[in-house]
Amino acid sequence: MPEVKTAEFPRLSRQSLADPQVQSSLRRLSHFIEAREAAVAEVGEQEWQRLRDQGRRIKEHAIAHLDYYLELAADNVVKAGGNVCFARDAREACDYVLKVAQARRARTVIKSKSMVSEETGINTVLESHGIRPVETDLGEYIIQLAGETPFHIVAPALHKSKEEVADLFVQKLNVQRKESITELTAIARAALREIFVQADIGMTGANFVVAETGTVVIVTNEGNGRMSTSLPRVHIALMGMERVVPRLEDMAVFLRLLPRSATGQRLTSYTTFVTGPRRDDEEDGPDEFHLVILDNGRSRMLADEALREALYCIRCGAWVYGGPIGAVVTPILAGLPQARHLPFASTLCGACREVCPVKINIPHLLLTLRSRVTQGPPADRHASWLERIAARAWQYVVTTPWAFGLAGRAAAILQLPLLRRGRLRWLPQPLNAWTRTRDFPRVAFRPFRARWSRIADQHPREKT
Amino acid sequence: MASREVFFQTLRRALGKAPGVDLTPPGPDSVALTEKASAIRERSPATLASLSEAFVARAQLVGWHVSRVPSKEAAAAAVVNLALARGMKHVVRSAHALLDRVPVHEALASAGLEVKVVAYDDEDPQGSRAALREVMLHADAGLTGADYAIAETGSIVLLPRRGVSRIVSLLPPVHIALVETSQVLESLDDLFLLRTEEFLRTGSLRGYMSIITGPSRTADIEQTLVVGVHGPREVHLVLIEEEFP
Repeated sequence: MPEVKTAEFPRLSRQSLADPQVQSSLRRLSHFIEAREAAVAEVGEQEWQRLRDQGRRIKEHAIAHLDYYLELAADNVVKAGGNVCFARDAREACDYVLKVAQARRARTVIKSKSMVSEETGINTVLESHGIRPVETDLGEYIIQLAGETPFHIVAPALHKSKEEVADLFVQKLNVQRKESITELTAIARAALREIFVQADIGMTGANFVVAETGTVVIVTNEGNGRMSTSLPRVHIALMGMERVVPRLEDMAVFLRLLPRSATGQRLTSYTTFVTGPRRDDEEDGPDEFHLVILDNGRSRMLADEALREALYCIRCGAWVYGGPIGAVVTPILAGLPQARHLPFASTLCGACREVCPVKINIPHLLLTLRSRVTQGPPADRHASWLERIAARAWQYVVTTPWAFGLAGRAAAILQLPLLRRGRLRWLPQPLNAWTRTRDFPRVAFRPFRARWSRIADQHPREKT
Repeated sequence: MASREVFFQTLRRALGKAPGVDLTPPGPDSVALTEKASAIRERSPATLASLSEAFVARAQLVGWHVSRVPSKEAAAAAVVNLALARGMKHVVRSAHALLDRVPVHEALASAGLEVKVVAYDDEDPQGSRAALREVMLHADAGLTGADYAIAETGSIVLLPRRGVSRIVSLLPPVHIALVETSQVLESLDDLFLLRTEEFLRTGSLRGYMSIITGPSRTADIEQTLVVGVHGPREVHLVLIEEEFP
């Protein structure tokens, strides 16, 4: 299960920060940011805001009537000839998938990118029963060959260089070493084709599920979503229960918001709409269709007024340049103690809120979670004892007028030896973590309160 | 069904809804929908011509190679030229009605190419499906019509059915789509409106719909764009712009 990694977050993040490959990959992401900005500019600022508001309203409505829309979606899937499983947790979802796979005597399951499948840990369950799950999104395929978990939902193999991929393919696929990215992609295409045509089950996520028609909507660029829903005889779609939207026409709004926010595209190469299994008069497609609807802690999020908003997320991935909605969702799904470090791993600069296509106030959600961690049982707290003493001292000083005045004066004097041309560019350890990359604001010699009393004298308030 | 009940109990408790209270949101306005749908179907030639311009401009931006031709014969010739220029030998095609009206099958065959229609034999669906998949996997190109084209996004829309396989446009390395100006819609809104109208009128939606916007692509290795991962690397649009009688 991915939660295991969450507990190791402090160690893993230090490791990633020190990895030059990861750092240079992250710098290259600026290309995505430019594409995103261009795609948004093309729509026009006003129209873009209108779309975001509309998307937000649809999500608010759908989540407020989630019970109604989920039943409608499920009924329509059944009407179209499909099957529905309501899974309260990851185990129920895995049990269902395993049951279907075993009934079909499946040996290979091809998978198109699905975050819910990561969440449920279905791969491990299938493997332990001798069924081979194969990831087919190129990035996920590379990660699976390397035996790792995805770096980011939009760019799972972000941290791998092409040389590393070349080595991996030589080692695992027994092919001649190629180094160009085009050739490496061709190797993966050929290897996966073999598997696509003989796989027994195709497993996908669901970007959206339209309640009115019982339609699963999948957006991909590579075409693996279409392969997984066309070639095998069984298709299983996994959805988090918050993915439902009321009507087909709502898709016009979300298809404008999602690709622009994710990769700066106007529309992904393939947008696939699946409504039940293959019809009798159709040439290809699965004979069996299953939709697994997963709760797994989402109802807890729903019941929590302060955090419900996180369920509006359409998983665009735009927060790769801003703040992490994952740091909100994971602690709620995996449990706050497990994931207590995540809400703190953000500067709260607010960029994520600006780019969020459904206007989720992520910084506020992170603050809510931070305060819950801090007020939780001592063993689960994020901060060290030193940080806690510092925070207590800070709290005392800023809420006690005489101490605040004294501290201001003391700081104004203590900064003197460090001031260079009126600026604080260097502080001693441990405060140099701040000044390594930016100036520290200078402490004013005359406190504002002192200046204010003079200003107030000079400009007496007009009497009315 | 027991687990479904428990699932909804938890859900309604989380929502703070009392069981049995019906808060049904309003359904779609089917009268307005029908009117809008007929307005879309009865667009003037002038509107279609300007939508076609927008569609072509957008399609080129998202990676389609577009040829605009004045007649069905010219469309067939354009496909043959393309096939010969690429040194193609085997082409698979869907049985779209448009491909019966455009003499493209005959033209390709007389230029020496092998053309196979992807439609399964009713007598032996399993066997013919397996055989045709093999043919598709080794074909140089897949040729299809389209059910709609969308000016807003530069996409074509395929609705699989008898004679229109899901994968003719997916498996071969090159996809060639023939489109008529009358098929061009203005926006995604129009597409979903027409689909919803059909759904409400007939009570069911087809099993599948693909919106295709350019070639298959990835940027998963070092964020470098590569075309042709699982789907085609090269996609062509032949837009037939006949004078309306």
